[in-house]
Amino acid sequence: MKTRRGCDRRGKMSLFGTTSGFGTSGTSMFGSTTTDNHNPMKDIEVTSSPDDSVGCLSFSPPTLPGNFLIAGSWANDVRCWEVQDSGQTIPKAQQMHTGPVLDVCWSDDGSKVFTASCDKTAKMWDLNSNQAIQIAQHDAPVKTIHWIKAPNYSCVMTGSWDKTLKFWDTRSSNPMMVLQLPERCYCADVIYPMAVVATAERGLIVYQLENQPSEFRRIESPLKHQHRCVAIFKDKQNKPTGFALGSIEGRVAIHYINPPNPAKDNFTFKCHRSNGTNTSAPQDIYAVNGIAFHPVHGTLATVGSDGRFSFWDKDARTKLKTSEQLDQPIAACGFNHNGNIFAYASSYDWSKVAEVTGCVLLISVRARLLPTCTESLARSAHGSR
Amino acid sequence: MTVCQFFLQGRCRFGDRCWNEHPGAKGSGGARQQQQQQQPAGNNRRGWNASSQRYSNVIQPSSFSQSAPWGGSREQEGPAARAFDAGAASVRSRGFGLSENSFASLSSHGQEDEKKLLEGIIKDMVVWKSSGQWMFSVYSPVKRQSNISGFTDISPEELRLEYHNFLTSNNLQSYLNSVQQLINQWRNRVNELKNINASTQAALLSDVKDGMNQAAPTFGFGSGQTTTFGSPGFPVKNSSNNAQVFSFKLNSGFGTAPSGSQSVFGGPPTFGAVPSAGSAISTSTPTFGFGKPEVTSAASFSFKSPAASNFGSPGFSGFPSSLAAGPAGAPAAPACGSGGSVAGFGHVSSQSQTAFSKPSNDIFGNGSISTPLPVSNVIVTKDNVLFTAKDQLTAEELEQFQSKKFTLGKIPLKPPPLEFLNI
Repeated sequence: MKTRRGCDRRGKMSLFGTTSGFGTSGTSMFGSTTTDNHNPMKDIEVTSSPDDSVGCLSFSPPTLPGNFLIAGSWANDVRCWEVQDSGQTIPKAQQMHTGPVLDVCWSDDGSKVFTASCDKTAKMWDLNSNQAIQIAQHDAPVKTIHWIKAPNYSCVMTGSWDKTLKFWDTRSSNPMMVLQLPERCYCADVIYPMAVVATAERGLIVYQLENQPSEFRRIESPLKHQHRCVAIFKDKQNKPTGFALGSIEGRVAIHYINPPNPAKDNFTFKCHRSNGTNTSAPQDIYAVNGIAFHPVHGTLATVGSDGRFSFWDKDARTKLKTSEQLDQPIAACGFNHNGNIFAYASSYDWSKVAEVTGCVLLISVRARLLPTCTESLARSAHGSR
Repeated sequence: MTVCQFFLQGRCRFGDRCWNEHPGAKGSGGARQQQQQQQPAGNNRRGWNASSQRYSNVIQPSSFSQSAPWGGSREQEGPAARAFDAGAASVRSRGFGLSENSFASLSSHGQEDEKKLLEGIIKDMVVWKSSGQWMFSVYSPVKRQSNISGFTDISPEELRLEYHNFLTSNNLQSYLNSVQQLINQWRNRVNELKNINASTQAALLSDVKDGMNQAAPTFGFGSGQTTTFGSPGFPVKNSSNNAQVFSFKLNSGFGTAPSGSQSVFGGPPTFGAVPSAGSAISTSTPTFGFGKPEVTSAASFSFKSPAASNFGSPGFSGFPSSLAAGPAGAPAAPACGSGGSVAGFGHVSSQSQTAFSKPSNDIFGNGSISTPLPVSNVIVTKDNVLFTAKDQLTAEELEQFQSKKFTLGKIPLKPPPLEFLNI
């Protein structure tokens, strides 16, 4: 069962007879007079999407030939697809947890996938052998998981609602290090040697990972409401230099760690609001569910509960593009390693407390993501309930 | 510099950042300096990259830098930004190395800032209600400050997990009830803030002010002993407090730390830390009866720490409960100003931390803190411990108590006299 959010501007009618895989519900029942907005951008859907909301997704690193996509869902599973250049997606494998999966990430060599789940554990999934073993344990659901590869060590960093940040050597059942957080961990990002963790109660901490992880600075939140997602960006020398922080209030803050002029360089911008820049009428405000930076161009993509995704240029401080509105919120997003593919998950994110379905969509972005960016090739598959 | 036409019309989008001149723009002195800095920079920028200042398709400049003329009703945060701007402007003029000395800006702008702050809060509340954004979020009226009490942070995933747990136990109805309860609490709090009257106003201001006073220590990050960092309770305090407000929290590990549900009722470490954090005296409406314990402990902390020698004394454990009244009822009193001296009390508390954890245990063991307002006779009996008689204070101390703020270095070590409290 899906809820429709109203038709898109152009009043298009879209029939979805062509694509395959409507899960088990048989053929699509979209009559010719209704508009269906579950994929207004005509992007390619991934075949056999998870049955419940997708909470997180991640593309394989450049060390792996080809593109593989991992997505974790609230149906307790983690699925892996191979995404071919033609746009076709081939389901490859699946692993289960005993609780909804909240975060996934790859190891740097692309051979392992790490998954974090509400069952308070994190697992390491060896793709070659298709075996998954538990590598981490917390006292509360594990919300974030990241792989850290330093010159002198490598480990998995897990952030949990038990207010701790733990670092695990995958071979040992005891954490290498445990750092206390001021509050529950809500989101995190790692680009060596910097890590950022955003917690409940508007907590924000930056860690430096050289030698061993240690707290670098606690930052006063530039946002007024709950933190929802964070992503680190790099400077022209490919060094992490700051991060983008999204909140539930349709706003993203760009924050540099050591800017020459903080008052000018750090800023916030509004996004995912219903009335755009015209604020004379009361507008609907949606949460920013995910932020991802394009690995090559440094432009950022945000996805929100309003069912749209947008691309922005933070240096020129402009919006590049906004998608049409999907009928469901977009819960997660990610770029592949060279930025050619952008994946976003359209599924209910609990922003209104109701029904759930899930699907993952991909678009292929042409070489340049500038004001004149063009999208072609929508890839779509829809697993719905 | 050309004069900015948009500014003259009252609608310049760039505010401080605008390359053109805004004649007679600002009242605050710091901003004038900043404009001077901007002029040379602006000229350079123009040559370098003309495209960065566009009038179309621009991401709205942050409310930090916008200083719209009065009454401009555009995208900026309006009053809230201005209130902050005053502080920010002084920061810019002094350079980044120093801490945000919001003391200075506050004392000069005082009343006006408060009013703007309140307006900002009201506006934000109105927006929050009408916009349909996520309700269970903390909120802070001015960026970089502690959160206003009464709001709790629940992420959608946590709520959803609750749903799943209840689903498996076939107990959806109680989940729905709990959610409904949370929503109602939120709604009440928002309405309360929206319709600010005198008492909530005073409480709110002290909340924010104490938060601001606390901001100073947090910027001295190098010194590891600022207790705000030492303790797990980061500048904000209400997380574990409001934890018990959730009825379903107790049956299913809701997601906050396992000690979460018991923390108020008997987990000394969490609350032992809270008083030492000198956290803002939380405003508490009668519905949030649990807010009180924090008040008492914070209050007991601020009064007692200089007299550390009295720790072991039996009189001490009775102390906090009797204090339940004082600061709570008198947020505007000089007593609360002692929150500003958190920095001074910083190290004392770190030593006394363990000693405090015990008494706070007692407070919470009671759980009978539902009577927020004091019985005045209780104060009288403990008079000599809680308050000093007026004649026992030196002239300087008297003056300090009577002034609006303590000056660093002259903060009295004795508790204020009873007469000075406005209950």
